[in-house]
Amino acid sequence: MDPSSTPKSEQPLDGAKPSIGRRIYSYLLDPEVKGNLQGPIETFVALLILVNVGLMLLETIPQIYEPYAKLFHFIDTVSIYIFTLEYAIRFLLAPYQRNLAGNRFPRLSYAVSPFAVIDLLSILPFYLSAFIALDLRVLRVLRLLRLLKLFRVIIPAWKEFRQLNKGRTFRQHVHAIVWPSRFGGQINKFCDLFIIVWVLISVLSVLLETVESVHYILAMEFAVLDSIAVAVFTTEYLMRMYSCVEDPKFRSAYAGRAKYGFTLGALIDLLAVLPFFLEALLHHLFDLRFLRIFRMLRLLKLTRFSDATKLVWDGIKREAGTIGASFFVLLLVIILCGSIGYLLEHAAQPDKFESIPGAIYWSVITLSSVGYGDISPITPLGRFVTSLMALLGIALVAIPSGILSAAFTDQLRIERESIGGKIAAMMEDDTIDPGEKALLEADARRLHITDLELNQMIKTAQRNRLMDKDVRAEFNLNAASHDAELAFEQFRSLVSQMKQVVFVADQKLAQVMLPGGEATPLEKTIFEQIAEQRTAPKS
Amino acid sequence: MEATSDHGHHNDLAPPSSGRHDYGAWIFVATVIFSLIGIAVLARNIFAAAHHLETAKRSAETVARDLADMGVKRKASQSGVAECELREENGGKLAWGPCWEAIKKRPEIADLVNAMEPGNPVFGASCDGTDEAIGRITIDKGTPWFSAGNTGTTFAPSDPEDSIATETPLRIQVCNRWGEPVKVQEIKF
Repeated sequence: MDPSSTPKSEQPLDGAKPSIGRRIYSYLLDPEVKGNLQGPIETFVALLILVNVGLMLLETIPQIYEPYAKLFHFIDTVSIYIFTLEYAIRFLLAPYQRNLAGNRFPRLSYAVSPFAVIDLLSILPFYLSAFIALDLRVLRVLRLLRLLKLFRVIIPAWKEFRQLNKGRTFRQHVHAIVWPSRFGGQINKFCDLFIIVWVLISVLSVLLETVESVHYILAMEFAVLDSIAVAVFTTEYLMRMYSCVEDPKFRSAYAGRAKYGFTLGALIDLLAVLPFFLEALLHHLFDLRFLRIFRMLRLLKLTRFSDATKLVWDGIKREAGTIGASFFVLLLVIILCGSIGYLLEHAAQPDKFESIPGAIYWSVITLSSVGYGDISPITPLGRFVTSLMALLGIALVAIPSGILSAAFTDQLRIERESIGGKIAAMMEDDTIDPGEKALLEADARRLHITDLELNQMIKTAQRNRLMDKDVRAEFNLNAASHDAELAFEQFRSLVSQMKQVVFVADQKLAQVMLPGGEATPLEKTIFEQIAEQRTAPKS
Repeated sequence: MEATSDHGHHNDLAPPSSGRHDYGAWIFVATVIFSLIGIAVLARNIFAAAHHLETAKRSAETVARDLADMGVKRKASQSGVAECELREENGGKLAWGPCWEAIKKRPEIADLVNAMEPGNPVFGASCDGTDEAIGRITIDKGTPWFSAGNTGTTFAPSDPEDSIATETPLRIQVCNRWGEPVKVQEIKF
C-alpha cells in the first residue's frame, strides 16, 4: 500500500499515528487508497459468489451432486464463513467509512444500509437452517440472494460510468460499454469479463458435449447454456455493430458499419453465433451437424482481449514477406523431395508411392520430423535420400519458426521503444498529467513493462528534456559563428559549467574518465587542468 | 480484410449530438429485443426437443432395467414370457421379433408412462432426422467378434428374425434431433 495515497481527510491532524481500526480499514476496505487489498478482496468475493452460483446449479443434477455431496457442503460452508467474516469486518470497521464519518451510530447506520442488508441476507439462510427446518429447495432459492452481493461492485461501477458519460449520447454510452476507451471505466472491464466468462463456459460445453457420459447427463443444461451464450454474443455483436461508427475509422452509418462488418473481429463475432441460427432454422433442409464444431471458433473472441495476440499479428504482418518466402522455399523442397521419392520408390513400392501427390504426403511427414512410418523407403538410394531429407527438414522447418519468433520479439521491442517517443511527446508541455500517465500505464501493461521501468523511462525523458532545454537556451552554435563576442560569452559559460561539473563530481568523474575511460586526450587534458586548478594553492 | 482496432483506445470519438431525436437508438434497441425474442423462440424449440429426449431417456432406462431383469430370468425359465425362455425345447428357434412383441405386451412396458411428459414411450427400429423420431427408443442387437486376439461387440439394428437362443448383448438407445442414436445402456439379454 502506498501510504502517500491515503486521502488527507484520513490523516490525523496532530501527526499522531492513525488508530489500528483506521489502519486496518485503509488496508482492507478503503476504495480510495491505491494499492491496498480492497480491489483483490472484492474480486475474490465476486468470484466466490460466481462459484457458489455455479455449484447451486450443479446441485440440481443428482448424478453430479450425490457422489460429491460432502464437497459441495464443504465449499458452501467455507463460503458462508468467508462471507460472514467479510460482513463482520465491514460492520466493525463501519466508523472509519468516509460516508459514515460523523455519524452518531455508524455501525447501526451501516447495518441498515442496503449493501449490509444484502450481505446479511446472503448468509442468514445458512444460519437459520441450523435452527429452523427449512426445505432444501427453499434454502437453495434463498442462497441465490448471494448474487445480490455483486451489486457491491456493480453499483459503484455504474455510478462511475454515468459520471464519465455525462452529456454523451446513447450510442456513445453503448460504445463505452463494449469498446475500450477512457469513458468505459469499470463497466467496460465487467463487460469484457462477462464475455470472457461466457466464451469459456461455451467452449467448455462444446468440449464436454463430446464426452458421451457427460453429455448423457447434461444434455439439457448444454442446450440452455448454448442458448444463453448465443443471446449474450448476439447482443454484444449488435452493440459493437451499432456503436462502431463512433470510431473515426467507421464513421459513416452504412459504409462504416459495412466496413466494420468485414473486420476480423466482427467476422469472428458473427461466426460465434451463426451456427446456432443456421442449425435451428435450417436443420430440416440440410445436415448441419458439422456446424456444431464451429462453435469452438468462439475461442477466437478471446483474442480481442489479449494484447499479446495483436503483437503477434502485427509482427506477422510486418514480416509477411519473409515468412511467405520461407514457406515458399519449404513448399518447393517438399514438392521436390516428394517427386524424388516417387522416382526412387515407385518401382519398388507402387502401392505406397503410387503417385507424386501420395509421395508428397510422405515428404511432408519426413521433412517435419513427424515420421508416422506408414510409408517408408526400402531402396538403398531412397533411404539415403530420406536421411538427407530428415536432416534438411530440421533446418527448413526451423526457419519459419525462427522468423515468427524474431518477428514477435522485434515487434515487442519496437512497441516498447515507441513508448519513449510517446513520453517525449507528452513532455512537450514539461509535465505528464494524470490522463497521459494513465495512457502510459495502459501501454506499459500491454507491453509487460513494470511500473519501475516506466518510471525510469519517464525520469530519463524528463532529464533529457531539461538538458535539451539547457543546451538550447545557452548554447547557440549558429549565432556564435557570426558573433565573436557571443562566442566568447558562450565559451566562458561552458568553461564555467565544466568547472562546476568537475567540482561536484571530481572523484567519481576521475574514476570514469582517467583509467582507460572513453575520454579523448583533449577531454582528459581539460579535466586534469581544471582539477589541478582546484587543488592548487591560492596565490 | 482488416484487423479491428479492438486493442486500441478510441479516444478520438465523435462529439455528442444533442437536440436531435435519436432514431438509431430506437432501431438498435428494437433490433436487440427482436433478436433476443428470436433466440428465445429458437431456444424454446431446442429445449423442447432436449426435454423430449430426456423423457425418452428415463423411459429407455426403465426398459433397459426390465430387459436386463428378463435376461437373467429367462435363463432360469422364470421370465413368464414363453417366446423368450431359454429352454431346451426352444433350442435354436428363439427369435427376437416374437419375444420383443410379447415383452411389449407385459404391463411393465405396455403401461409405462413417460416420467416428464404425458404419453407412452415410442419404440422404433432406427433413427432418422425427422421431428417425429426425436425420443424414439431403439434396440440394437450386438454380435461379438474375435480377431487377432482382440474381442468386441458390433451393434446393429435388431431384426425380428435375429436369434436370441443364447445370451444376447442389446444396446438400448434413444434418437436425438439430429437423427443420431444416444446410447442409454448396454445389457445382456
